[in-house]
Amino acid sequence: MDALLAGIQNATSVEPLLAILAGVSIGIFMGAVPGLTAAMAIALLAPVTFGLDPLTAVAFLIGIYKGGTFGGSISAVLLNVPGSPEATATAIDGYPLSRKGRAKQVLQMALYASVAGAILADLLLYLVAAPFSKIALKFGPAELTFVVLFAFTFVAGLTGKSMARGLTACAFGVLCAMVGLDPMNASPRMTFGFVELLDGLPLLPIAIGMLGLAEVMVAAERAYARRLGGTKHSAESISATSGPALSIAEFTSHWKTILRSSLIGSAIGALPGIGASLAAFVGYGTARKYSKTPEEFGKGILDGVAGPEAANSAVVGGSFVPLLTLGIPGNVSTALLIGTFLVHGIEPGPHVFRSEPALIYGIFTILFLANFVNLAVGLLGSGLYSHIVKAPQYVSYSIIGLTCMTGVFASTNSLFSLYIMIIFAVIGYLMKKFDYSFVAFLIGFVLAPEFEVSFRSFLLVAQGDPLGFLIQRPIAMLFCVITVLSVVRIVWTEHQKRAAQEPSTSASHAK
Amino acid sequence: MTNRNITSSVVALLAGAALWFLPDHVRGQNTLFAMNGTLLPASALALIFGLSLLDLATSIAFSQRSDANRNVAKANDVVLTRATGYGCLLVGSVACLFTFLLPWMGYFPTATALVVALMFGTGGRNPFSILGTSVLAILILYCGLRYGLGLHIQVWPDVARLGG
Repeated sequence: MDALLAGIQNATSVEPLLAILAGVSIGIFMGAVPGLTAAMAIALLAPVTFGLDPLTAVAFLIGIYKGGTFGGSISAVLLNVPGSPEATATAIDGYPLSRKGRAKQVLQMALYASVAGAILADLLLYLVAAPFSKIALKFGPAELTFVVLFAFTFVAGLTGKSMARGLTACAFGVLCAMVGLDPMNASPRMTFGFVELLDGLPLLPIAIGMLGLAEVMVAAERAYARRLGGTKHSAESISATSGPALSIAEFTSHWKTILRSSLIGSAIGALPGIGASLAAFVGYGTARKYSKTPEEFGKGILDGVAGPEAANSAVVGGSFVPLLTLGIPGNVSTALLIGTFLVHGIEPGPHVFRSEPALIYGIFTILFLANFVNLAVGLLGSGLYSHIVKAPQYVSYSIIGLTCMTGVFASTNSLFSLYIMIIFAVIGYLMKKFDYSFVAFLIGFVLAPEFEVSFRSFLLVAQGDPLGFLIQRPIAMLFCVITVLSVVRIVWTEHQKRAAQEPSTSASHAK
Repeated sequence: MTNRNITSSVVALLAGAALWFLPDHVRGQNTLFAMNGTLLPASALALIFGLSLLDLATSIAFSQRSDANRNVAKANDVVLTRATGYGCLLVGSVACLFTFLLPWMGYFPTATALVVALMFGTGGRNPFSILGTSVLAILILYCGLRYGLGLHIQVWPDVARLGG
């Protein structure tokens, strides 16, 4: 009880509240500008938090994460260009409704559904996290090895077009994390004579390079192709304040859709690798399935906005379940949050519930408060943001480029880190081109140190009989079986997709 | 041979070579796949090698089954154009130049050059808008770093260093 009160007190002091406000404002902005995402904002701005106290730093980054999830809907609704991938489903019904002169109503529905979905997911997190962490405390090296292995395969299988390429990306992430001192006997590995590499490859320059600078490369590529092809995006932009406001009765009439989508989003968020985009589409599909007027979907219906928005926002709370209880990130944003937690001396996992309960309750409180700040900033600022999203892309991308370079240099004070960032930007750009999942890479990179220690400890404890030892550990065995089953399932699904592609093409050629 | 297959081959080749040379870059006990510092890096490299070969083999088997499949493989292939090279080269070279010149030229001149080059490279053509936005962005960022976070960055050229 004391820890709860201390957590609430810490989270409601001035600094964390200001940090949430700043984070949400930046998050909505980054989410709203097409091509920029909340994950990119977290990567770019994480160095800024290094000088802050841990809770204020976490508050700032959670604010960005929450704001960014809603922000994507602004450009989806007004320009028919999703600001972030998870807002793609929102555009399907949001933009047609805006064109009918109901932009204000749609944006308010997106905001209210986002906030409601996020609050429900946070409540679930609060209910689930503490009991789950008690189970997780019983995890030894064998359990941790197979839980992380499960996360690797699940993320690799679901975040790309091919499981082989996803696993390759994940293995590459693991390989990159092995640079530096061996954690068991402190001998240098793959440092190639660079003293700077003894501490290992730094997470932030890599993440900023792959997320930020690689995106600037994509923008330059698009600009060049546009110049050659002479194409321009022709979507009509609409004012954010056009049309009537959303009444409370109208909002509450969609409570079933919001509740359903929130539960879907929370469950999907808790599983590593699936992400907010899929949650939004599942939320949209479920809203349509249970709708009395499914034929209206796609033409413009508020349920088609509430469903995906509640689902993608609920993913945020859901993704904190594996993050806080097992220390396993499920997506890019939470992987970056882990990196920042570690910088501040917080090691996410079951032990943190016992060692720093006040901090955990502080984080829970911040997650709740961020929803209300999101609501306030969204209501007051959507008019302003709607103007910002119309800024030319060359302005936003070049400023992103500058922020990447300055951020990495300012946080590390090392030119070596800048070169690492540039190298990984090129790698990230090529990975994106050739369907090697960046998410799988990052999860591999972040989890590899913990995986190595638990894997090698597991082998040591097993004393040459890992299978015999595994049979004595039911939880580890369970995760091992789930891993094998999920690999089989994903490979089978891929095989079916490929098989389905064959006859249809053959038939079209026969014609 | 599609671009995807070429990539798989290159990745397999690089992983194979890295696996071969790995023991040279691990100090201390470095027998491959033993209980030492090579265990996880070697496993990761072996996995990359095996999976890339598997990807290549399944892709070749798929496209050799029929003409229609070959067309599907071609249609699904990654298209590499001049624009691809342009994006990578422009941003990569501008970023490298920024890093190289920063200790000599200071933050303001290098950052301005970086933003101007990126704006021009990503489609900006109005010189007033390009210069105005870049100066404004740099000033805001610098003030945030200097007065918000208390970080010191050398802003103007280091005359002593330039003079040798």
